[in-house]
Amino acid sequence: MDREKRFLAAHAAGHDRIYRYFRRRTDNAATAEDLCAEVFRITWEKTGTNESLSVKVLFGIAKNVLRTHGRSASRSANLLGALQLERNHERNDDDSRLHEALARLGPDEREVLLLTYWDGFSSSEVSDLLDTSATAVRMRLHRARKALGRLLETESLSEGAK
Amino acid sequence: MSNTNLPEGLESMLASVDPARSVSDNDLARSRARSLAVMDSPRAVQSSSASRLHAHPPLPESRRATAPRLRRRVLLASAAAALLVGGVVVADVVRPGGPGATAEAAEVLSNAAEATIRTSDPVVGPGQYLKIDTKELTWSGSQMPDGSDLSWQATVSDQIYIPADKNGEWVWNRGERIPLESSSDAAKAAAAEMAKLPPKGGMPDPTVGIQRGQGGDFYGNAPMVIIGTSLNEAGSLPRDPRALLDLIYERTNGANKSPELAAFVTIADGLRTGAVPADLRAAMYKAAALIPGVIVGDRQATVDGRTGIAIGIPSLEGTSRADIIIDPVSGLVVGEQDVLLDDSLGSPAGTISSWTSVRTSVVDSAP
Repeated sequence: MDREKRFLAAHAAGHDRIYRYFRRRTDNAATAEDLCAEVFRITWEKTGTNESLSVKVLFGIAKNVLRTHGRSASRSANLLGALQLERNHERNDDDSRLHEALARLGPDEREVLLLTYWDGFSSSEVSDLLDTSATAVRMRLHRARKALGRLLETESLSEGAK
Repeated sequence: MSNTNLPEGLESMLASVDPARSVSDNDLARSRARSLAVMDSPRAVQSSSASRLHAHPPLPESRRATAPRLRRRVLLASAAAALLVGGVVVADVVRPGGPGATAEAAEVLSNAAEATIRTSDPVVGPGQYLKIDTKELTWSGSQMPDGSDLSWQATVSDQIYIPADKNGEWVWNRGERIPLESSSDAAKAAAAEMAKLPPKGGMPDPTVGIQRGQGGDFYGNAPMVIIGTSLNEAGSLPRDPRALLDLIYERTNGANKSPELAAFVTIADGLRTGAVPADLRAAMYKAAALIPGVIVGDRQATVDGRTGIAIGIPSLEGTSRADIIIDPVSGLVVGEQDVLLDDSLGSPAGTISSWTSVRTSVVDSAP
């Protein structure tokens, strides 16, 4: 396959998911667009070599771009910022509680949760992205769900159970 | 305890606060056009809009030359970080001593090691493949037209074909997610809808179907037998159980509040590949027997229709246990499972929250 075709195929398969990935982890559409373009600039460079351009390779690039950008999802201050910004639009109390509980999770646990429930990756895909094993991912997800549940429960105690 | 928060409601709660829900078609179209433009002018990307991105210098041109070594270091660091639970890293971890696994677990593991050596590995002749069939119970889900989320349990069956020459091309046939028979009709209908979706942008789903990787390098990473050692390098690992365990403790140092759990999971992950040579598998069993806290979880554990002895270690919080399931006759790992030990996740204690079965055979060809 020639270079342009390889790139177009990778772009068609990955763009929308990558863009959403950035919208979830940065605070506005312009930043997400910038980072997305940066991912595909790097992808275009890679098409010059014979490297694989699977969606997972794209997400690997996206992860690095996000880190370079300094707004990694593992930085809770930023996530909290992004979530609070989001909240200003249209959020009710329940959602705010969830935002705060998410922001209080450990960064690694939160990222496994978000990759799973927002980005829609299976545990084996998350493990590929995070360079770890599916078992470790499932254990972390398990802990993250439990921790999140506990945080939500603590927060809702004063208001009574739903 | 109420199930309001967990676990059924969690997916839909998280989905309801997903920032990407506000992404419009216009947003996507604009970004698509912009990121396609890099083909014409790679530099254009860096100047078309004002953002914090520009506060960072572009990556130096030398990046490519230094990439491989850097990549390896990053890989090691993140593999360790993946096991990190509470963020508490104690600089000088006290090496766990004590008696190791319970006597019962140690005996099972010792017998498994002996059986492994007795049975030895199937011989993969030139041109043949070691075929590893795995079946995993996992979660799947879909957003419904009314915005609500539906999730269900599904199984995924994969086959990996490892050539006799492990440096050759490995083939990975990734299966589709099939909802459990017990799933609701709505879940089955949603799963069928998902399977029918036309390939996005004309591209097949990259997580389903045949993948090929030289030397097992499917997505940019060679498969590991333990952190820092690829399957191809398995020969270099010590066969002395204590030396092997010490090495595993060293590689996972600081990775988890429980070094025992980190070590056990590392061993379980290696074993579940189904491709660990018999002598190393035996050493891994014996190393697991030296880990304090390792117990016999279930003498009659059944995974995907086969029965074995479950050897596991509970999580620090005591809410779940990670098991490997060993066939005592052959000494082969037939699978693994996660067992809930209390009902804090909304399902009763004893529930198997996930499992994977592993079957190995030798075949003459790969797809």
